[in-house]
Amino acid sequence: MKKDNINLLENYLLTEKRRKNTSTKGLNFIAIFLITIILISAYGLKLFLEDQGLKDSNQQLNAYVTDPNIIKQVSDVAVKQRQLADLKEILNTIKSLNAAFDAMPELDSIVLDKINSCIPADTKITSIDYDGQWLTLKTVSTNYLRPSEFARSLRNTNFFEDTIYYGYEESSGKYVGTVLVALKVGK
Amino acid sequence: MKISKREQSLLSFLLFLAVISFAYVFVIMPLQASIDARKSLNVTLNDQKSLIEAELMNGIGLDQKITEALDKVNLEFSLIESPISSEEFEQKLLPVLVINDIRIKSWIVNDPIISAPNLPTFEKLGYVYKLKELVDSYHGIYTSQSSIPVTDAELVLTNVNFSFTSSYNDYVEVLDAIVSWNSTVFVSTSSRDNLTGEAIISIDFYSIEKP
Repeated sequence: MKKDNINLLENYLLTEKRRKNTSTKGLNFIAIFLITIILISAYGLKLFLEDQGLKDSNQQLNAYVTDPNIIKQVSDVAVKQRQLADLKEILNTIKSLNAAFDAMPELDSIVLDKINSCIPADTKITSIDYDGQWLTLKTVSTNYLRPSEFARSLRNTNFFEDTIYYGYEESSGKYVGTVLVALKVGK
Repeated sequence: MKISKREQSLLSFLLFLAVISFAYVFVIMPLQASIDARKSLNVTLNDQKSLIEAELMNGIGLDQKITEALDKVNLEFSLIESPISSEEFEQKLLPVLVINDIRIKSWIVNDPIISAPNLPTFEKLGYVYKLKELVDSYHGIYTSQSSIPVTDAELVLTNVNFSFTSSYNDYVEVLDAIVSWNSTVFVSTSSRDNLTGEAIISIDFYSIEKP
């Protein structure tokens, strides 16, 4: 049978088109595959580099914090800080002690001279008792006015923290008076 | 075995998924886990480093501070007596007694005890009662606070009692000698009978062991 219309071009174009389609699909797939692989590799590489960077950083940090010299320096600083804290506490304690000692009243010639300067005529101090702050003074006078004069003189000196007059008693014509004076605490 | 194009496509897709899964499971995930762990460690180590650096910064000038504090402590320590034995104390006071030819009748040394300074506490602050408080308040007068220092710090206290007979001047000289030591030795109690010349002096000797 004779063919009337033999158009080979049409068939050829059709075949070519099919072939091209098939070929393009495969190429597309390979391209996507390769791009994906490249992207994954790039991401993996980025992670790897980040990991290595952190590893290096950690190694450096670890070397620093475990360096025996650094540890010794830190230990020395800790010891010195403790020593300084101890010294401060010692200083505060000892300062409070010395402040107390500075304030301690002292019985000496200055105190006794001050008392003696207040003794009126015809009066003698028969005894002195000191208890750390208070001085108990016993006097004997021939005049009943003298004990109170003595107490008033002591008070007027303002040398003492306080003066307490306990009056007098008559004994064999003499008047035995009792006066207490308190030494001031502190200087 | 011949496989169709559709099967080829499916297998390719599966291969593609397999490669991605493999990369994710065996590369990405382990790396990510490693990064997370290293980041956590990095934070910890950085914190440690910061602490160490802060500590080292604190250490700057510490020697100077310690030296200064030590000087102050030594100065304050020097104001307090070191412990001495009772016989040493007797020897210390003896020259005063011998020069004045004082006749010692008794010399008693008590065992050392630990005590805070026996600081007198009396201060004349006036009587306090409600009506006075009201009147003072009206006049804007308020009760003044005590100026007596307070300390609960303890040290070694040795008490020495001795009695003797002497003239009044010698008695005063003994008292002055004790005060002139300018030390932590104080006359705690004393009494003198001016008629007989008999006197008793009790001394508190405060001492502290020094480094």
